Amino acid sequence: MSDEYLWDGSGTPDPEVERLEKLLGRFRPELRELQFPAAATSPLHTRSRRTEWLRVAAAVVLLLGSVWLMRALTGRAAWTIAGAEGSPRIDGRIAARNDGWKIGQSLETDAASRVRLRVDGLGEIDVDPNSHLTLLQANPTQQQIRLVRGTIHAAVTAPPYVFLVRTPGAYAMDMGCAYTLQVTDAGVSILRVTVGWVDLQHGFRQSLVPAGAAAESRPGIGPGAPYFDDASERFREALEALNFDVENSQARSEALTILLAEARPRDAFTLLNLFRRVDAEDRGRLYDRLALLLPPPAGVTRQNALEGDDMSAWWDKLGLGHAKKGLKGPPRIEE
Amino acid sequence: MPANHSMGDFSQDAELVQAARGGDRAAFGELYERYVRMVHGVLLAHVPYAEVDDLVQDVFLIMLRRLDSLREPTAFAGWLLAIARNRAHDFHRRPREAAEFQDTAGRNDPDEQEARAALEAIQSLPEAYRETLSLRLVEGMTGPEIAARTGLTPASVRVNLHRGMKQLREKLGKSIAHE
Repeated sequence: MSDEYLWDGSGTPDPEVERLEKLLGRFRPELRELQFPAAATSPLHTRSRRTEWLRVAAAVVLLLGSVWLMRALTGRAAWTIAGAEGSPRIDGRIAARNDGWKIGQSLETDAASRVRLRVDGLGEIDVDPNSHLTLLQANPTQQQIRLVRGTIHAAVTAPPYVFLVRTPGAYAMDMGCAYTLQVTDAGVSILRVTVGWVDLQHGFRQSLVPAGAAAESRPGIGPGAPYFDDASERFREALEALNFDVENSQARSEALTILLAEARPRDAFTLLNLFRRVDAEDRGRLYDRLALLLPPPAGVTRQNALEGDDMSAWWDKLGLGHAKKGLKGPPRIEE
Repeated sequence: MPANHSMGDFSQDAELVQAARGGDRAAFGELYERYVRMVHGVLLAHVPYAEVDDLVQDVFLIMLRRLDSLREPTAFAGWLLAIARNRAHDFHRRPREAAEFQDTAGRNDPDEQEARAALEAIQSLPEAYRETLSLRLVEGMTGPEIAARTGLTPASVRVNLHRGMKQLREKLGKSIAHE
């Protein structure tokens, strides 16, 4: 017998070890669905590049096709309760572990209840107390819920744009990430991303929110510009006015003054998001401050900023990595 | 000797962790591939086989949720190992989960029966030996790979393998003698 064989497979094989390896090898895992597709694209840059668009779109079609086929073959796209505390209710009836949650059903937690939901191939959603959700879609290419109120914590392994949460202020579309999403009684939604990116959309308003950042969305207005959690309080208050005080130009202009004074280099991310949100006459001073915090790349000029041109090249200088956009333009949202 | 496990050092882990935090799905996928066998082997040392696949998924979803809280990305392997062990510990703290376990698959296949008996024997060994033997005999990792993945010293892994195998032989010998 040789201990070397047991140690690293070298030397004279020990027959008993060999036999146990063969017997026990049947318990080895098969790689399952947690693998992520690699589809790195810049949030904005690729929009103007047709070839890149086609390449990514083709990859996504292939990916979604594969996911669809895999789910169709395995028949796994159902929501189940993976864990429950207290007395959560589905359509008014108390729900327990392993119960299913079906399209059209509402799920509610009271002050003493919480739920963990799971979909194979998608991930898990933890539902906090005092929350109310409805399941809208549950098929291989799109899983869609409405968060009426309360808080969910999502850990999603599905491909980009498969999991979507509707809130009163925006759609929150997962791009492979972990995040917390809260909807207040007033319908304001607050998103905090811990891993990856989330795409918030409402009409023509869009915010791509990376890890470490947050964004609010309001009914009738949509998502505001995102900000990093460690931005100053004055910065965040000024941003709130810029994002949502849509009818008061004077207040917005004053808020921009405060925001620019408070901005740190890290907040260049928020400033870049504001080019499409500030009034045209304010774009010049926004450009000037941003250029101090993060010098513009070659080819991006003050004139570009004043005219509302594409700022894609500047995004690349942020060093935030790339959002994993699977689809360009508005993704298909199943009704 | 199967040894598909990529050895890669901890600095590679750190790069993958940083990329995964930024939403790089390929990086997350690579971390999964690098560590799925370690997580599987550790869980298999502690919980019933039929529960392991679901718990592996749990561990990687917990990892995804908490990746932002990992302060030192080079410590990823030990951190993931702790999540796996905690998840196995949680499993046994929940009597409902344990009571629900009923696994009768393959009970009529003699090889399957023998394999399950060997697995149960490994699970009955002292803690220090069962994980190491599970990683070696079930997952097919070598001693050096186990040391690299778990953070144990090679000497400790070697001792665990040697003593664990000795106890396993005794247990399997006894069970054969009882039949």
